[in-house]
Amino acid sequence: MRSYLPLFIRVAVAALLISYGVEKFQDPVNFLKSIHEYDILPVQPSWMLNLGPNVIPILELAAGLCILFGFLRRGAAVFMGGFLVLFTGAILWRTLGVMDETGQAFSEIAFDCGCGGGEVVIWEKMVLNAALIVGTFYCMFERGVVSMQVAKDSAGDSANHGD
Amino acid sequence: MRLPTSTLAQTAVFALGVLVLGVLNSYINPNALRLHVAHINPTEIHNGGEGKGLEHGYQTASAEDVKSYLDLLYEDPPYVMMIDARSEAHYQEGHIPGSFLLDHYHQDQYIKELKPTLEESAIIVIYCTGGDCEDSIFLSNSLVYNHGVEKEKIFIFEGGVEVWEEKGYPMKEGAER
Repeated sequence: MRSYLPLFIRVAVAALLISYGVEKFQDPVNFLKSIHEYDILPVQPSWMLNLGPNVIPILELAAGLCILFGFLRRGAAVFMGGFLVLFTGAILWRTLGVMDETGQAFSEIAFDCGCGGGEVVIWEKMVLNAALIVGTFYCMFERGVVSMQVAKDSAGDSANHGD
Repeated sequence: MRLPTSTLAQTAVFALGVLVLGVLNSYINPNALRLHVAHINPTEIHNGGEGKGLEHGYQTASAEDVKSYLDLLYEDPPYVMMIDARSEAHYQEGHIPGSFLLDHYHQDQYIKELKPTLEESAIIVIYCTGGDCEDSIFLSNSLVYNHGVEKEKIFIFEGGVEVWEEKGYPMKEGAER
C-alpha cells in the first residue's frame, strides 16, 4: 500500500496556508499595521504598503487550494515557498532589530509578526516557518496525483479484501 | 538547480492570477483596504519631517475634557463632534456616548454622511483605542489634508477608550450614537 505521508504533508501545508490566509483576509487592518511595523515598505506611494493586505491573504488562500487540489500545484508551491523564504527573512530582520533595541535574547523575543495568531514566540515561529517552507517545496517535487493514487490504492485494497 | 519551463510558466500564471485577484479584492470587497488610499499617513509626511510616531501637531483633550463635552454632543448641529476612529465592531462593543463612527480604514463608507457635521461643528474630538493606537492621528491627518477640515478644530483624545474605561466613565454599546 502506498504511504499516506505525502498526502498528509500536502493537506497539512494547505490547511496551514488556508488558515493563515483566512485570518488575514478577515482582518486586513491588523495585517496592514503588522506589515508597517517591519518598516521595510515605504508609506508612500500608498499602494506599496496596501498591496500586502490585499494580495498576501489571496496568495495564501490560493496557494493552499492549489496545493490541496493539484491545480497549478508546482507553480503555487514555487511561488509560495519563495515568498515564505522572503517573509521569514523579514521576520528574522525585525527580530534582530528588536534584540538590538531591547537587549533581549533571541529565545525571549515575541511579537505579532503578522503571520496569523497574534503575538508569537519568534523562535517557535521560525521553526514552524522552516517546516512550512520544506513542506511547500516538497509539494512541488512530489510527483503523481496523490489523492487519485490513494483512491486507487484504497479501491484495490477493498477489492483484495473482498468488500 | 534549474526549474522546468512548465513550472516557471505555472509560477508566472499563478503569480499573475494572485495579483489580479488581490487588486480586484481591494476594490470589490467592502472589508478590504483600498489600494490608492494612504491609510498609514504619519504626521511627518505632512509636516516635512516633524512629528514622528505618536507625535503630532494637534491639540489634545483629556478624559475630563471629553466628559465635560458629553452634554454638547447631541445638539443639532453639535457644537462638539466626537469621532470614534476604530472599526465598526469595536464601536458596537462600546463607545463614548454621542460619538460618531468614522472607521479610519474604511472612511469612504462614512465620510459623505458626516461631512456636513464635520463642517458645522466648532470642536472635533477624535479618539481610538489609546496606548499605541495611531488611528486617531491618521484620521486627523486625513480629515485635514484630504477633506479640508480646519486643523485648529481638531482635538485628539490620546487616552482613548482605555483611559475612558479606566476612569469608569459611561460607555454605550450598539450601533446607535
